[in-house]
Amino acid sequence: MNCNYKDKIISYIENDLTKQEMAEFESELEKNSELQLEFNEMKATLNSFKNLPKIETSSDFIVNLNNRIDEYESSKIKIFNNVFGRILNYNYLPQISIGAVTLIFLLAINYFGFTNFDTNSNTLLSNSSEVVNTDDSEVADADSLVVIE
Amino acid sequence: MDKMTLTDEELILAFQNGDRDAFNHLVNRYKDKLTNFLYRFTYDIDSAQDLAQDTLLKVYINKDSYKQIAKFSTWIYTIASNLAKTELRKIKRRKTFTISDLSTDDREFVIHRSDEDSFENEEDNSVSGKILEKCLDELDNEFKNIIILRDIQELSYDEISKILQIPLGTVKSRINRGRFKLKDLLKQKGVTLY
Repeated sequence: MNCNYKDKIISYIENDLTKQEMAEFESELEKNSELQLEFNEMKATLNSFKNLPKIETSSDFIVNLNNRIDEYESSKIKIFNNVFGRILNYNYLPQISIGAVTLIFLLAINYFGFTNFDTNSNTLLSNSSEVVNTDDSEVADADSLVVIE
Repeated sequence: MDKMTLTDEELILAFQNGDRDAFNHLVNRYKDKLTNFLYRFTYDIDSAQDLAQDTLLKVYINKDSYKQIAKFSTWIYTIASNLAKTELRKIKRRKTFTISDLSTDDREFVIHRSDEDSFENEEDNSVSGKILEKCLDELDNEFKNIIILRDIQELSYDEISKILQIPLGTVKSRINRGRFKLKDLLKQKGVTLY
């Protein structure tokens, strides 16, 4: 049999040929008994997939899946508890206490230090605004001078 | 909003945004499809169901690694197909171990899938599901996988190409060769195809 036509059997079944190729294939199919046999056998093979038994999941499939999801979620919580539980373990309590006090101390220094600096800079700012105001009043005085003239 | 009308991609997006009900819809859509797909590799309903659950659990855990650029079905079948490959490797190792461990006398009692299964349905002479399964099982994995994805799961060539990570042209030629091999196997078993 012409190998080209054999290769085209599946393309023909799947409607994957151009109009011209399809016409050529059909005319060959009419006169070529060997091609007809191959064609029918392939069609029967593809149709046979419909006879495969359909497998359905059991009724407890979703319940089992949800149990596994719950297990996963609780294992996540367990890991979290293990990590933080170990940190907060009594064996580490002195180290944690010293660390916490040091942290509070550093934060306090940081806070009060910057507050003082801010107060100074505010004073500086308020002085400079007085200077500006003085300038404004001088301008006003100058205007009033003009009016008197 | 009625979730039945949503596409798979919309459902996974909703799940990524914290909607657990969207995940349940995906489970309902895919549980049978996945079990059917995986059964063709394991030929055991229980392990097929276990693997389907493993696949869905992986979707649950790794939901954020799904990117909207790919079809959801491509992603889920890729996960299932990788799990199936791992399971097949395990089964192969187990079989080799078990049979090589048996004495010569015991080996005679190892049960093979019967060649005397009815090859054709008694009523309509069409190919029986059993013999088709047997022939599919005899195909090389490269042909078997691709035929399962195309002819049983009815995925597009494009999706298969992405799942198996092979070029589209290779997918088409491999499916065609696989189908001809399957047809020849059926004929060898004495099945009349018409």
